[in-house]
Amino acid sequence: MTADTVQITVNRVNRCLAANIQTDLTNEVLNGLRENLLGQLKKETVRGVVLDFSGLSVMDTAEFDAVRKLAQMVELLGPPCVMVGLNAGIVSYLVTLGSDTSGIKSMLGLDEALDWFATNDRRS
Amino acid sequence: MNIVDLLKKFELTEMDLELVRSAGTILAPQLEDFIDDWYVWLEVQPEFKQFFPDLENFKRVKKLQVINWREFFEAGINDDYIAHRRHIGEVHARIDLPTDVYLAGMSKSLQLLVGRLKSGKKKPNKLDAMIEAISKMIYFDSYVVIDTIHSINKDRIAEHSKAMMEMSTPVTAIWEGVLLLPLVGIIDSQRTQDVMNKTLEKIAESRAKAFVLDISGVAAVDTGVANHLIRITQATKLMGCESIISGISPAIARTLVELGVNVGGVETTATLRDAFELALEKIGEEIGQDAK
Repeated sequence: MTADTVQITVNRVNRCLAANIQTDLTNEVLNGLRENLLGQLKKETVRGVVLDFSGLSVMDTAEFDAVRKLAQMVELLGPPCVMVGLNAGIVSYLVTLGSDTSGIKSMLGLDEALDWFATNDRRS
Repeated sequence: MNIVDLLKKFELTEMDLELVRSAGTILAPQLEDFIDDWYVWLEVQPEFKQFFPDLENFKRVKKLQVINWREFFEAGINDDYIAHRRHIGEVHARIDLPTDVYLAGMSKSLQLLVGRLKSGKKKPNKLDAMIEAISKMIYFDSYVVIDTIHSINKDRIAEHSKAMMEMSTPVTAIWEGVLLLPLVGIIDSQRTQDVMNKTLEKIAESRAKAFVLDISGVAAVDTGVANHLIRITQATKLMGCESIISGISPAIARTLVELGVNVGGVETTATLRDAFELALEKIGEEIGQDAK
């Protein structure tokens, strides 16, 4: 499998960026996503970034940590970053293992996140 | 504890048992009368009516009692004997006989038996030693019975608390987007896990944005429990649902502060009412009604 086939696409919706994560977050995939996402943010101004995990059924603490760092990077570039669609199993697992969840903004789904970005747009 | 050790603990020697047997030879023909005397005492006790509502049962119990005392004076302490005593304990536990009545009854029996020995026409030799042996034996008997009652009650309590623990954790939607979970009883890590899983499932299913955890029914809050609760709120937050812990009593607030528990960003209120108001405010804000 080449890196291209497992690449995570970043969609532009309603002046927001949405990355739909459906594969295991290997280093390769993560690097691709990071470059792609941060590159897009450099090119244009958006209201916010959504990382959608609703297609993912398992995530380990290392993957979660990497995602958290990615969210921090995004916020350093300006727009707020929101995680959505974490399922109950993942959440229960992460919290039970004592993962650091500080500084993370989570929401139920893409809908809620896009609404929130619309109402909390700093520039409008 | 095995029988030999028990006998040693109660200092019941073979000589004592021999003395009990010889007392038995004197008392055996009088046992029916002794039981009648004993019921004269019991009949005036307030518990009598409660435990002997019908005559049929009364007669049967009386007969059993004679058999038990006959066995007592045979003084053959073996597994069967102990098993019979344990059975008596089980019966008493089943009818919920207060231990005071049982012990008072045994004390009365001792008194009546000694009275019969003393007032007999022919005074037995070694009367004092005989009385001593009988009382030791009665204590021994009572121990076995009470111990059985006690352990049955203990099992019962353990069963009840298990049932309490297993009681479902009812996560209910009380408003569009607001979930409520009233926690009752004791919280440990196992239960937290159950509560967390159920809550998270319910959040995913109902797409709630606020979750109120009411802990006014939680027996005791210590560092462990507090950490469990904080963990639940962390988890719901990762799902995109804000948690509010309500029902913090002054005592709980004091414990938390004194234990140095860092409740962090968790919102807490004293009453469920306040928590509900806060929750409504939250969802109101989220859906943009009073956004700036």
